[in-house]
Amino acid sequence: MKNIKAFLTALLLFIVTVTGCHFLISGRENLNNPQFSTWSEDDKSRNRSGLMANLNECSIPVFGSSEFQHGTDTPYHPAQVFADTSFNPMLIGAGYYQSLSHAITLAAIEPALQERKAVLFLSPQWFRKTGVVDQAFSSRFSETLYDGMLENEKLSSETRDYIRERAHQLLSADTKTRDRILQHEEILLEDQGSFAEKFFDSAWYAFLEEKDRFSLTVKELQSGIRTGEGVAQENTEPDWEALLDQAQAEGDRENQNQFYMDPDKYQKLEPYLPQKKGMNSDAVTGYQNSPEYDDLRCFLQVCRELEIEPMLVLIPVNGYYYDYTGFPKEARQGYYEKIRKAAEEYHVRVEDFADQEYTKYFFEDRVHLGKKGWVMVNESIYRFYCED
Amino acid sequence: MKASTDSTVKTKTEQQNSASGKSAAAKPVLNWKGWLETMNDLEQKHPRLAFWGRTAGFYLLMMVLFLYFMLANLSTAPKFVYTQF
Repeated sequence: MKNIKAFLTALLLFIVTVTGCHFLISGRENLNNPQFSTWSEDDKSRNRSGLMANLNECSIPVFGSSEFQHGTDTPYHPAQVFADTSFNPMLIGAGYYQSLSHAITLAAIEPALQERKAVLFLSPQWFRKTGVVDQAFSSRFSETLYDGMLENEKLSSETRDYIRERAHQLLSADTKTRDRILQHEEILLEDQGSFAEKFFDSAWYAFLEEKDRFSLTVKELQSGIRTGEGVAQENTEPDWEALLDQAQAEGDRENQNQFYMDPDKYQKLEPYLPQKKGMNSDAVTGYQNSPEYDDLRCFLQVCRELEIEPMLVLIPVNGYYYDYTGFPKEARQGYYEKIRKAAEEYHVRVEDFADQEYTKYFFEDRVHLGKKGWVMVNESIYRFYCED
Repeated sequence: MKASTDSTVKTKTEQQNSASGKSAAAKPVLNWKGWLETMNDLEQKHPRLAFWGRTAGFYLLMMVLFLYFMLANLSTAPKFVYTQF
């Protein structure tokens, strides 16, 4: 009897604690801090409530992949470049987030988008023969974002069905999650399922949303991201010329190797160079045949149906390195051309950096944007934001 | 001199073992019986304290479980390590 009383008392205290945590965390979801937007944390990209709560009239979602985690401690990363502006680019993505994941995210967060624009950084490496691999997709998959996509009534059934089919296929690496979302789709879209199944489904999604909020709050506190005072009131456009000059001077001083990479990156790569020489010489159709093109079209279709104006940022390859590995120039040009054609189909703007393959210091390593690359790309997304 | 017949008198060996901490049977590291007896004494002498102690124990257990479910990576996806390609 004493144990039961003690247990019930503890349970009451626990309920009060958890309810208090819930209201505390819900209250601080909108941080009103531009640092959140340019924070390149992987978990943020899977957090529907965090993303939606922090989008404002100065935000546009900028979808990409691993480049966001590179150059964060340099003055060229968006987190530094836009710190004193009123522009609030919401960086979404990390390694192996590709077109399909971003299509799902965009559809899920669209109700919170005030500025109806979106940017998608296209990396050539997305367009390998396999496209996004199932293990990578599964490890980046978010059930709450997927649920948000399913609930967006502006999406056509064709587009939703394409996303569902691809997700089911790619979640073959995580059958438990796949089975759960299959059941969720039956309940949500076809109103099937017993009372118990519907109850547990609702409880599961309520738990996931609470977990998203809680874990993101803890990560924010660990990263020192606190509630702020909003974006800068005065918009001071970054001095692009000065930044380029600074990048050039730093590159001339530091990046003096055959690929013009950052010295630490080149040092790591150097021991493996002999085996990489000419290794891609047979990639005659490299990056031109990939399911990623259909996923890209899906992203553009989502933009069209949700009335969002997209801009594609066509990131090139590191020409010096790709020549070294023998990756044919014709194959590279073929890839760029396919992207331009896909963009034309949807009448979408492309910020085309294909002619920057041989720009020194554009890359910090084989694939990621470096000093000059960041300055040029940042300027392009800033201009896109400022246009009416 | 009369020889001692007192059974409580220890032999020279037993005295040496006692001084060095050794004994024929090893002493248990945790004296559970003693601990239970202490808790029972506490229950009788300080019932409120005992109650709140139990409550605190249950509460801590619940909070540990809660924090685990909120913060642990519960994903069933295979671990995919991003490597630069």
